[in-house]
Amino acid sequence: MAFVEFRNVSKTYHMGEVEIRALKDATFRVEKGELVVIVGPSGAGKTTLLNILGGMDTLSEGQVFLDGKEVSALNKKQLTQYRRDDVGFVFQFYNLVGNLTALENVELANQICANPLDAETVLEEVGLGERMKNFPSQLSGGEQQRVAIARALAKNPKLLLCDEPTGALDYQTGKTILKLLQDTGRNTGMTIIIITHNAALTDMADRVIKVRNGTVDTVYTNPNPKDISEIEW
Amino acid sequence: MVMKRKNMMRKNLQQTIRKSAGRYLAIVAIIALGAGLFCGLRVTKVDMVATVQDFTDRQNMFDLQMLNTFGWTDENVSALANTPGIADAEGCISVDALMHMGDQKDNAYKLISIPDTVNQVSLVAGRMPSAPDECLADNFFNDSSMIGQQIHVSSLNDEDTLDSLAYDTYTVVGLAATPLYLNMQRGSTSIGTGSISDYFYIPRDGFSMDIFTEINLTLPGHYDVYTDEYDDAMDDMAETLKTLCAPMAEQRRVDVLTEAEAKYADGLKEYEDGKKEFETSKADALKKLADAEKELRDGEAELLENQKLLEDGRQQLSTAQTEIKNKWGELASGRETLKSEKEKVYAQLNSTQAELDRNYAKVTGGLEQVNSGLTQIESGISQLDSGLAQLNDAITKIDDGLAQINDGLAQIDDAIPQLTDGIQQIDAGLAQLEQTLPTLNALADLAQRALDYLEANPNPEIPQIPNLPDIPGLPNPNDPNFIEQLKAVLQQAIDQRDAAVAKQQELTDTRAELVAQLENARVQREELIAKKAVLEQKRSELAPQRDSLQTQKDGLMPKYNELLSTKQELESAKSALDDGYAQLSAGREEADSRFTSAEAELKSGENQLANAQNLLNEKQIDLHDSEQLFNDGRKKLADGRAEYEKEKANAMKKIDDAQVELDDAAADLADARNKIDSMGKASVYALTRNSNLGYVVFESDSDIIAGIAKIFPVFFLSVAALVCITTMTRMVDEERTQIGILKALGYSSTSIMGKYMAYSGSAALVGCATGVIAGSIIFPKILWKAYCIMYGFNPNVTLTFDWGTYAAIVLSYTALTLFVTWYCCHRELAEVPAELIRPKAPTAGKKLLLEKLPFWKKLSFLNKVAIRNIFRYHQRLAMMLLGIGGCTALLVTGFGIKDSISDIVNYQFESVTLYDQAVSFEDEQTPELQAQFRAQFDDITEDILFCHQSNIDLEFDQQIKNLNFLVCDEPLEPFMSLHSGETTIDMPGDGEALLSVGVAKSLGIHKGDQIVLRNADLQELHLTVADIFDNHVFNYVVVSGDTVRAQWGKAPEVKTAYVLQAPNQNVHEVGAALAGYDGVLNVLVNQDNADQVNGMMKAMDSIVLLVVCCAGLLATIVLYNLTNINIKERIREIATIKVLGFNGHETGSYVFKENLALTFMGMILGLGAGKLLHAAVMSFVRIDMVWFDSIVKPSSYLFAAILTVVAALAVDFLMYFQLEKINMAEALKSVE
Repeated sequence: MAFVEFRNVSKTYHMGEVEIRALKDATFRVEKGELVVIVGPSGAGKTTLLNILGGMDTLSEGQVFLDGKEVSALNKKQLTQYRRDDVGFVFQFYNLVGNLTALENVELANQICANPLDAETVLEEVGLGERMKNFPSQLSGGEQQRVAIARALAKNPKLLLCDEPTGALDYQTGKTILKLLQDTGRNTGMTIIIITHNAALTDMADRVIKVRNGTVDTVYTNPNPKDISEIEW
Repeated sequence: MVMKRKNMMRKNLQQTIRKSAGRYLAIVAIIALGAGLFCGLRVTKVDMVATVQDFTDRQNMFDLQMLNTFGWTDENVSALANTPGIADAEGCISVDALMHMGDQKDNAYKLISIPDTVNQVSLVAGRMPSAPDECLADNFFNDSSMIGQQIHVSSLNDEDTLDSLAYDTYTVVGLAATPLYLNMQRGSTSIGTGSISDYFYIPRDGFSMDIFTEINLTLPGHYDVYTDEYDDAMDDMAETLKTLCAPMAEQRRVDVLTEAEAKYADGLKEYEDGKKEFETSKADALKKLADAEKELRDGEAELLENQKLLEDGRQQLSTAQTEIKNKWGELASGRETLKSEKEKVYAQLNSTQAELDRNYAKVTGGLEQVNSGLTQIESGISQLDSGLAQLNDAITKIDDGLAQINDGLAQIDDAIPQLTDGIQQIDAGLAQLEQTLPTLNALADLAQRALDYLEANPNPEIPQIPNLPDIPGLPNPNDPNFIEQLKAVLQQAIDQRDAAVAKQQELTDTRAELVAQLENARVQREELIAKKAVLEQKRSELAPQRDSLQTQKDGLMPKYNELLSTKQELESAKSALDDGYAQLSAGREEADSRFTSAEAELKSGENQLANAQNLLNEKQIDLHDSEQLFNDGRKKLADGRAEYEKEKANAMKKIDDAQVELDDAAADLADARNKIDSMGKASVYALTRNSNLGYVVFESDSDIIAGIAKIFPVFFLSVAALVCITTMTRMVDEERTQIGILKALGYSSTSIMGKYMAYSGSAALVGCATGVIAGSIIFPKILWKAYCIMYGFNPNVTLTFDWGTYAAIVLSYTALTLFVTWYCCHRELAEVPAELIRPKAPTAGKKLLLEKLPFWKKLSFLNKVAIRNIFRYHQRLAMMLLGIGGCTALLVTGFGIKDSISDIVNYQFESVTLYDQAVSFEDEQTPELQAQFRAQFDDITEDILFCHQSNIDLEFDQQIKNLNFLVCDEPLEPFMSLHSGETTIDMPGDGEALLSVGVAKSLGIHKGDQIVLRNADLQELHLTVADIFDNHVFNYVVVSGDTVRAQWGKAPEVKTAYVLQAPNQNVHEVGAALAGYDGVLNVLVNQDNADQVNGMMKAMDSIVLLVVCCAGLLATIVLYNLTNINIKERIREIATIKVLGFNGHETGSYVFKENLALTFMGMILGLGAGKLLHAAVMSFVRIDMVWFDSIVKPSSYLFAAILTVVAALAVDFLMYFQLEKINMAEALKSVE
């Protein structure tokens, strides 16, 4: 069985009398250790997919598995535990707690999960060894996103989910962040899923999933993923 | 275009209000609460006064009431009515009478004539009386079931009262309220229990009086009640009227006096005539009586002499009788002695007998027991013996069997070898036969053949064998007979063989027999052995049984022997007892004979005496005859005497009755004279409404509310401002981008701000409107309901609409919110659009000084975040502290008010003023008068203290206060207890004064300060304050008589007495008794004071409830608003931590920890602030008459704290669900 598997997943939102089908019959697999890029235009259902995989939302039909566990069968409480232990999130807007220092933000996450990594070590690994005691407002956007990545990694999750991680960053900073993610994947063997609307990023992925109109359009693997520094857009 | 823009802005505003409905409502609610409270408290006092104003206007309540000691006539009334400056004047009768309903007890009621113009009654139920014997009842104490009832005038009323009423019974036809009694107190009286229970209104014709007790007046023009203007005007008018009425009153006096004098003169004449007639008839009667008396005396002297003679004879007889009696006595005593001795001896004998019987019974019983024991043992032994015998028999039988068996065995054993031997012998014989048999057979065969030969050859030649020896047995051939001989020999051989064969046969048979015998013997032996074994087994079983029986028997034997010896002992004891019986019986015989002879002796003595008695009796009869004669004579005389006495008594009684009648007439005349003489000057009183208790008390009661109204509104206004600030700041923050866009689109700052102004302004207007309407209607209604416990004249409060107050409230709140809104917006609006469109840099997280402390590192993240957040948002911190602190403070105040007022009445009347009644006298009470008074009420009072009490002005530090001036030479204990806390205070020394704590505190007087007292005559007393004593109701200064004497030259008049009544007396009955004493002006029952103050305190309860409710509302609104904003502000943060995997509980504590911390801090501040607020409120609600002890009990602090925390937890609980609802997808949204 594949590490991550979506089987015929559909999601329908009810807005009053209107039904919105955000996902239709989505099916794909991801192997362990892969860097996956899910790409598609706005409104294609990328975020719904991420919400379901991240345990933040439930699906209407189908099944989702992570490492043999059926995520789609978990109840609310189990989902909370799943988010705690199995998944790390990186948001577009970092979502750091403004009132905690970089180090404390990381510790905030790792104090609740089962097998955390040392917060300071992780911060050093993302290159913020010197700025641990700073508050988010004292950090640049790239640095904040590094803290966010460190916060996700410190939980030692099975899966790292990144929602437009460079969306709020400039080109160069975005690149360094993507590099950090690519390096992390290569060095630790962690499975990383990046959601983006930037098709150029597909070149860096081991596997590319193209989403369109709520369905998985194409899935293909990249035999030779490019290093991020080689990609331009 | 203009229209369109306006539409857009309005739409925007509506949208905003709808979106933030909770916050909008919070502003509305806090403003409504503040405005309502302010308006309500403000208006209630006004409404209460207006209610009284309405009522007094409608019922045309008197402005002045004229009293005259001689009453008023119709002419007086019309004279006053025609006086300029007077609108209405109406005479009125009021009488206190004892009345009752059905079988109930008498009560004192006030009966008032139904007026037409002034002090009109307000009919509450039923109808107005149409007949003179109908009446209206008190509406406060009665309901409509009273209508139709009959009330009866009690016969216990005094003459004057009975005379003044036209009927004995009045029928209630309606219930009425009157302006004369606004509150529940009905005042005191000198009859019955001393207090009036109800009033009744009776038509003028229901009274049979031709004068009025009072004239009620109203003045033209309209005045507002409880104003100085009114009071001054009435005081002036009162003086004028007093002067005006003085001549009328004097005329009244002269008229009354003249009438009385005329009546007196008539009475006197009648009296004199009666007296003369009486004297004549009295003299006649006395003479007749003297004659009869003399006749009776003579007869009595004669009788006396005869009586002497009889007396002597009787004496002699009596002596003889006495002698006989003595002899009888001696005999009787001899008999007595004999009897007692006899009893003694027999008793001894009987006791010996009883003793013997007892012992004999014991011995017999013992013997019986022993015998039965013995029998039992013997039967046991015999049973055992028979068992043993049986067993022995069995054993012997077994042994015999065994012996037989053994014998059998021996025989068998003997027989077996014999049989064996026999067999062996036979065998040997057989063996021999076997050996010989062949030879024999051969021989026999030979012989046979030889014979056969011989047979065949009957003469053989016989060889002669010379010299043949002769062989025995064998025939010699030489012998002629040889052949015969041979033949015999041959036959012999054959016979020999046949014999051998026969023998062999015989032996074989014998052997078989023997073998059979042997076999038989063996079998028999086996059988015997088996039998023997069985017997031996049986024997071995029986032997132990026998042994055990033997053992049992052996065991019984010693007991048997013991019993045998006991039996022997008992038998010897029995024989000893038999001896004792013999002795006893001898003793009894001896005693019998002795007593019989003594008895005979006595008998003869008695016979002699009986003879003497007979003689005497005959003489007695003679004497009796003489006495009979004498008695007849005496009886006749006595009858005559009795008749005389009766006649005399009749005559004397007639004389006495006449005398009494005369004396009564004289006394009546003297009374009348006295009354006429003591008719003083006519006193005219002009009373204003301030002499009406209900009217006066009402004002101070309503003042309590006005006092509270002064402090709370300011507090609520500031909380409202803070709620508004937080809400508006948050809103401007949220809509920052929108503001930027609007600005970028070209909207002016003013029009943008207009939206926020409209938002907060409309909230303020709605809040004010709600608050003002609710406050000015609900508050007065609720509070009036509370006051209706005491005031029954109108169940509905008059609502007034004080537009000025409303305008002030609306203006102040609206202005405040608008200002606050402007303050929140102006900074944002000053910025350029470009800046606004960018998200606002979030308030930077920063380290606190606190973090330098070592404990910081030990805190968990949640605690760190909570603490940083608390100090990050100053506005919220301030607001939370004020809101929560305010709530706690209000609660402390509410409970504190209760603490401060609840106990004072009990304390005052159970620990300070302990006397039961205070009596005021008309005149100074000299020691003689005091002693008389004490003696008069000795049975119903325990102690009485005479002192001086009056009102005096106290001057200190340019302040003047009127208080009770108490001068007393004796200690006030136990009538008043002077103490400060636990310390008892001594009576003041020379030049010293004791002050009650209320006046001392309000004027700032301390121990040792100099004060000046000044009386109405401007005499001054300069005193040092020696001590300050606890006292809650009224103000007192206590000074010793010596001090006053030293400074004024004489002590003030003693016209007051404090009374401690005897136990188990009714205070009002004692009060009434005291009031009936001559010279007593007024009796004040202390219990009534207590009731009055208590009633006032009751109204405070509803105020406490009000404060507590407001506090709860306040806390809820503030907490809700703050938490709501807090959550909205941090919605991304909360969504993010939920995504991180915080569960519901952890998320809740992440958010609410700071809420709880702030609640706690606010609560601590509030407890302190509450103490201050309570003190402030108590100083505002101060009533002149009552000194509140401004205390807050620890339990009140505790309750306040608990309620605050409960409110906080409740809000957090509600908000928890809102947290649950936060969608995690919020975390993914962009920053607005």
